[in-house]
Amino acid sequence: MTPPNATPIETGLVRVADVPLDQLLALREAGDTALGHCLRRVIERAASGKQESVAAFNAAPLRRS
Amino acid sequence: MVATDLGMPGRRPNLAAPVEPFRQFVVKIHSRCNLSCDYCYVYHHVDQSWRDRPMVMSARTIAALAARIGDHARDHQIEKIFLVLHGGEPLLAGPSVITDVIEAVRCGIPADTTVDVTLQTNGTLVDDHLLDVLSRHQVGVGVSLDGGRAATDQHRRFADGRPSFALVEAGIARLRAADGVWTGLLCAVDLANDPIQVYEDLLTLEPPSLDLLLPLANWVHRPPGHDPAATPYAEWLIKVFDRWFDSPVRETGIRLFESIVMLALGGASDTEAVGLDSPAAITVETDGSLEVTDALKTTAPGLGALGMSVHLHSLDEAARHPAVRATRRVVENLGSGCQICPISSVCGGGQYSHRFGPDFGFAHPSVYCRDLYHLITHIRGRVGDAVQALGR
Repeated sequence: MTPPNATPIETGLVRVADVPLDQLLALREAGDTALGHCLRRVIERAASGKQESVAAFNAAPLRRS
Repeated sequence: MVATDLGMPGRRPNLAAPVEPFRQFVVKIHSRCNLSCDYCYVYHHVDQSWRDRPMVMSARTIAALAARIGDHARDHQIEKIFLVLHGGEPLLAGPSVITDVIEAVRCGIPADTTVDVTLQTNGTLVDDHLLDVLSRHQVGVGVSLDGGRAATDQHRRFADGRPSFALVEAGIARLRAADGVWTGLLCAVDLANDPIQVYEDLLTLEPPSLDLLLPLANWVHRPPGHDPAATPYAEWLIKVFDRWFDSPVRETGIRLFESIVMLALGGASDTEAVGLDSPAAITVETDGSLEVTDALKTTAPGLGALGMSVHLHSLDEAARHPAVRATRRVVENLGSGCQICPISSVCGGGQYSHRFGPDFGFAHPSVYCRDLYHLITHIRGRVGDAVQALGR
């Protein structure tokens, strides 16, 4: 998954930047799974460069844009 | 206001740091509720300040609030603000007050600032007239409940003991029928309920999204079933996570889980429950008083109060308050143990109020620390395995 020359991720987390494009495309083709949905949102946010403020604990779980 | 070290014994928040403007305004338009849920953090916890508040936000306070938000948005060139109508039960305020607040805030902000309006309700008062108002003003509506009929009626009852689920279910049906109004469900975790049953009961309501909330608790007021050596909340949540994550098609969004997955993937959180992304939120009570966050009502009486009001203080003054700066979700504001924890970027120390300790400070790990660690490492493992499996 991680190219040999990539810098190891100290936290051990899986990061979108380390996921090859063909795997991301495979996720898209697999339908709207929970993982696919999250990956797409991470990519879309990174592409837009915008970060909306996170919800307070007592605020509704989904916001319309 | 109770004297406190603001979570940083020996260290104070960096008062020289630039002010982080507020983007989210949790506005209490009505301070009373038609339900009397036995775990309610407003009425059945240590802070009883609701007793001294006016029931409904007055026209004078609404005007002051709108002017302050407008000034703040203008001064900081904020592109988008989030107006969260809250209570008590906000629908008790009635259609005219709801309309007045939304229109005043929309009129007060600069032309290039947009406002996203949501309202969090117990769902028992949704009628056609209110629905028409909410729809007309493009208000996204979230509903609070604890699962299906049995789980919800266990705690969420009227003061005379009557159960609430039947009314909530009918309210949700109305919201669902009004396209684009309903945003989802907030569900507090109760260890006494079967997690899969709760999730599947919630699914039958067809929510666009939901969140599972850890009970508001801390090291002084511990959560039900708390055992520092065990992880009962993680075990409960993991059962739901695996059920949700393994579904071949995403059945609904679960804010806590999606936030942890996105953080694990290098993205951002949707909730202040995890991660180091700031909610940039301020709470405004019905009398215009400003509070850091409602959750502090579960720590000590008055601890969340800034001693400020929209009638007398600008939102910049509130943003400079040490108590507000202390709640910023940055590594420096975490306890020393959390700062070196390998999952701190995902956990973010958990929710601020969950860190409150007997020293009246917040430089502690979350009372849910072990649960969060177990949950996050489980989710991280599942995500890693799933991504690797795609490459095979």
